[in-house]
Amino acid sequence: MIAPPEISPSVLAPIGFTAIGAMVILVQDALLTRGSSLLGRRVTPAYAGTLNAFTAMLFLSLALYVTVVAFASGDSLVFQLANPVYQQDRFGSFATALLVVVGILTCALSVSYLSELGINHGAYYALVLASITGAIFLVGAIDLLGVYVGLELMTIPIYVLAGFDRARLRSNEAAIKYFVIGSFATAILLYGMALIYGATGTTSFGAIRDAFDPTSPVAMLGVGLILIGFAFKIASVPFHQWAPDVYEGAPAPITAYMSVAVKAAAFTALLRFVATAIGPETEQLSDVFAAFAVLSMIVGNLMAVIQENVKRMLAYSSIGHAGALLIGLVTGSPGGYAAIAFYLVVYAFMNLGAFGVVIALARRGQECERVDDFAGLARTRPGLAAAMTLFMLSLAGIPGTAGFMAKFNLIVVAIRADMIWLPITLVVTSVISLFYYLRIPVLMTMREPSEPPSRTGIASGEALALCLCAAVVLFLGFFPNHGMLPWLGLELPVLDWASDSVTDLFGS
Amino acid sequence: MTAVPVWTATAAVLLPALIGVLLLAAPRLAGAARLLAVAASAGSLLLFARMLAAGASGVAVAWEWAPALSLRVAWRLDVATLAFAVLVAGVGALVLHFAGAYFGPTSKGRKAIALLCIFQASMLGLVLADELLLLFTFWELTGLCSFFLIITDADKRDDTFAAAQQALVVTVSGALPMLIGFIYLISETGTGSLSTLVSLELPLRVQTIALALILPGILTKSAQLPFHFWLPGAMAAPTPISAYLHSATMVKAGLLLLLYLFPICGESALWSGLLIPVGAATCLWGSYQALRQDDVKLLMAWSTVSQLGLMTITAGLGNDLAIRAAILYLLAHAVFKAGLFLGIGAIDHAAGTRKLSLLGGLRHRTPLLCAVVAVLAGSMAGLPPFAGFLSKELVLKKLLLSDTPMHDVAVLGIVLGSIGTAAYTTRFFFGCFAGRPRSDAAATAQPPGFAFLLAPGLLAALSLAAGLAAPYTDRFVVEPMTTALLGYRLAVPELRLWHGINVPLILSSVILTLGFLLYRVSGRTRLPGLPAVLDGSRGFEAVLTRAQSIGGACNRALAGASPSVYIALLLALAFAGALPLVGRLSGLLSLGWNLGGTILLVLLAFSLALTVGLASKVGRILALTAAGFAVAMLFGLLNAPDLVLTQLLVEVLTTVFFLLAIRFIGHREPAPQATPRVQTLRLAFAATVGLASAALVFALHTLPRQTRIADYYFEAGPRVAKGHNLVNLVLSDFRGLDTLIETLVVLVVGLGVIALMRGRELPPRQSAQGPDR
Repeated sequence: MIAPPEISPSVLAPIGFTAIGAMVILVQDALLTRGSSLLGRRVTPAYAGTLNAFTAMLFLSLALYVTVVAFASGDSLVFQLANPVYQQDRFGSFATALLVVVGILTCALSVSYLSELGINHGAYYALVLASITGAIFLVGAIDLLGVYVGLELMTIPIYVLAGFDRARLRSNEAAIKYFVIGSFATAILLYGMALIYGATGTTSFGAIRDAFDPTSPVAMLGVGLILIGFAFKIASVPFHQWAPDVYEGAPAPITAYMSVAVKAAAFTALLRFVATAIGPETEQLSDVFAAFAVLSMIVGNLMAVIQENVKRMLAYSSIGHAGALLIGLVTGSPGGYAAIAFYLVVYAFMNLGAFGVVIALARRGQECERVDDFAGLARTRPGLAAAMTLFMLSLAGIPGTAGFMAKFNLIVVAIRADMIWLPITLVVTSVISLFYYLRIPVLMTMREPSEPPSRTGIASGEALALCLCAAVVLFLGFFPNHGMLPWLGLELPVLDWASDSVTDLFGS
Repeated sequence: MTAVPVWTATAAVLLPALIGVLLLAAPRLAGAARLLAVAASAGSLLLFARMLAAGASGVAVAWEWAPALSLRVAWRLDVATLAFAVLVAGVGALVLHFAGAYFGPTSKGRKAIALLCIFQASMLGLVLADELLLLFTFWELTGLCSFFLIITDADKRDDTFAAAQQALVVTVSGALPMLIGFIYLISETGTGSLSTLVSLELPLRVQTIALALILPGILTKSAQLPFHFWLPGAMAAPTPISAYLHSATMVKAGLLLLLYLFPICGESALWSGLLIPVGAATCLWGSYQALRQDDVKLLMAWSTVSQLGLMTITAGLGNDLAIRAAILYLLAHAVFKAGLFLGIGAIDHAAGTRKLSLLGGLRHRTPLLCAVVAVLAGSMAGLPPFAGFLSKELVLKKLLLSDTPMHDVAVLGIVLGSIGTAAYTTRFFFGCFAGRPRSDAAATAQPPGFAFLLAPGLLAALSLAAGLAAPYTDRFVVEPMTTALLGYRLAVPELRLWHGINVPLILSSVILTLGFLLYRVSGRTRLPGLPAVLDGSRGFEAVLTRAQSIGGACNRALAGASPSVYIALLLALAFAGALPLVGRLSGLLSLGWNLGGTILLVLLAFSLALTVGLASKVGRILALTAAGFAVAMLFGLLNAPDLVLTQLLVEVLTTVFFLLAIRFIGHREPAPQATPRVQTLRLAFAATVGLASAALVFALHTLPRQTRIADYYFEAGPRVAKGHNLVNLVLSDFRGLDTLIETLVVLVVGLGVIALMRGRELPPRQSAQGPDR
């Protein structure tokens, strides 16, 4: 007789909330739009969209609540059927909380954008929630198959969402490109997993670590293929080519979500995989990561300089940031991993903020995505211009903003690990990045607006999301750690949380 | 020791910043901008003066910013830093007063004054920061303020943005290696506090590495060759801004940091080895350029470059006496150069032009301004009895005493540089005020009002007073500052205006005479410009253009490519590692063969060839299904009936889905055929990747077995899951959760397909119905 599998429902609570949320939205949307006779009155699509967004945010908030509780408890719980599949620990909870917050902000930014572009369908929010479900599963997966399933569940809704603006050719192109290339990358990843399974006889991270032999060519080839899959997801050079096309074509909130949540989830999963299944100090890995990092920083920043489309520019900038993040992986130290975790938080808010401004400027049926569209914004939309300036400065890493703290932290860690070329590359490419980040504030303040703004108001969801992003960017720029606001009784030691959460990976 | 006045210091730094932010936020305050700004500067000046008078010293920790990053807000208060702060706030108050008159109550003026206030706060922070990283933060803030201040006149001039960008990028590029240098110092010593670092004895190697990393920051900020070009460019800014940022304070930040660093890294051979030649080159080049300019403001900018070079040489001499001379020169220069820039602003205002070829004879129209500028120019040229004379004497004296290996270079640089200074000062002064007016504008110049004269007048008076009261200047300013910076007292004779006839005095007179002669000679000949190759500004532009063209080329090569290119790249990178294994495929020959297997393999190959070759979509799909069936049969040959069943099921379902999709998408024409060359290339690529992956699979199967995964399932399947179909058991039991989530994935796929397909039945956008559906 075998003991029944240990199932503790609380472990799966965040996933449960988001998955159930997705289904509830589907039913609710059907009731609202098709079954309007049930409700006794006609429901406008805009109203239905808002309601769906609220439902999505409600379920995400519930997920956030259980995640925060789990993080605070500090416990490490494993969900297993026959094998351990999913683990809820502080590292996973840290990333999950970030993902869920990003999800909430994405929903808040989407409501009026979808109306403006005329693509207000209930499936949108259901797909976003499904994608977040996958992302959460991915960051907690402690088994190769869990990683695969999480990755798929996270990505497939995005294939659809990227093409959500069906009437626009570029949106369709983005979806098809992302789907075709993404499927190949996933297949390569899966092949790598199979090779590791063949070499070690297990798919469980802990067991792989015990059986892993860095001299075995099969195992190393497997790891290499898996890394390619991850490099694709985080858009690191030389597996980045899809990013500019897809970022440009996809609807702006989805681009924002992709550049932030997918990157964060893939990075945390990669960290967990390297730390617990391979061993962070494996030298061949560090060399590969260093090459990826240098290439990404150089290519991403150089290419961003010449872009005339803001979304495309931000795509290349996100490739550059992926390179910077990889520096933390090269160190292979808890400090480096914590620096990545902190950077991911900072990057999420500043990048969402930048996209948020692009979203808030979207006009009826048309996006505001050319760099020239920002001319004279300081006069016509001073609030948005100020916010955009802040996000650009933060992305460039100017002191006083969160972006500086994140980069700075990373440089400190790298130098402590006796590396000199990676931080120097980071620094040099940061200078290059000034060209394109500062161009927008300058255009906004110095040029006359080319045409009168067709949209003058700002939806409350967008306003709230932008305010939150700006507040976080400033807050983390001045208070990256605790002991900062003792007089308010407020303690938000984000940097400490990042460091604490990483200790779970290094099995202290 | 008195208590360290933490909050007074913090308040004094923050006060101008607060006023600046207030002015930025409140457009209605345009009228009161000057009053508020001058009051803020004066307030912080008073606070610093009080601290100075009370003898405040020590480290004031205002706030533990980020202890995990060894970052805290701490002020280093001693005579030297407080005196610099007084200078910054004092000159700031005067410049702001002048700026109020210069801009008038306009919106542009309000913004410029607000930014000047914020700049002033950053500069004060830079001067007082004890923590290296705090210093860096303020360093960057000053650069950023400079950027926004240079573009003040963007509506009038087209070149401002390029100039501002150049200034920012050059200084920031220098500052970032400096940041690494700071972090290096911190990680080597465990502290980032300047006051602690001063007392440490660092190994020579550490000193040199740190200095090598930090120097780019210093040299770019202080406009040394070959990074000097941004400073003349920055003259696109309005005059009060140039006076404050680009002559009196910000460009001095590099030298200031040099002075702070001398006790820390001064023993390194790099110190004089690099600073003296760079300083000498800067000094000579600046003087030469200043003799060529027609615009007096540009003349003054190049003179600043030349004098910054002079200060770099002095600091580079690398002994404590030279540091004393550098301090005096720095103070004197800040005062007379700010005054001269404001004077130029007044000239511009009075005559409406800044061109030497159009000025002249202003002494009759604006006698008061002439007197003020005469004092300031005298100080710059090093005439007695002004402060500039004192500092030049001191520099020459130290020069004769020094014994560094670079001594000759230093002598050459300083002597020639001083001759040049005397020459261009004469050129500037005579050109503006002597002779006859060379244009109607100069002939009808209106004397500037009181507001334009107050600030330069006060600065001139200060120059004169400091020179006349030389012993007091030394006793109360220079000597305590030197002591504070070095950490010990220098035993040197007191500074006097008249030391009797000695070598420096003779040298000084020779320099002045030669300078005057140079002025006369250069006035008659046209000085040639620089070949374009050596022009740093053009080099900068060239680098920028080149970077853009490289980026553009990459962009054209990659962007918008079809997915098949990306996929090829992906596959190539993925399977490059397996290529060496292809040789092992020869091992296949040694294996036995059987008839059924061979037939199935031929069938498989045939089906695949059909899949590629057939023209009809449905035909291709059916061929692919046939290939799948062949694989299923192969499984059958290998005695795996459960696998056969699964494979058949998957094949049938896939085919059904495919056919359904075709029904929706329709039989469209395939994409235009590729050229034969591309076809061959594709075939070769596919064959290579296929061979590599086949070799990989074969190699994996011939490896010695490490584990028998199947054995576990054979054993555990019946025992744990009570079943015999292992494929079923793995899917539904051992991997139950994965299967569950995978089902969700399939559900989502279906959802996506529906969402995408539903739109096909509707026209793309029905605007009549509103934005939705």
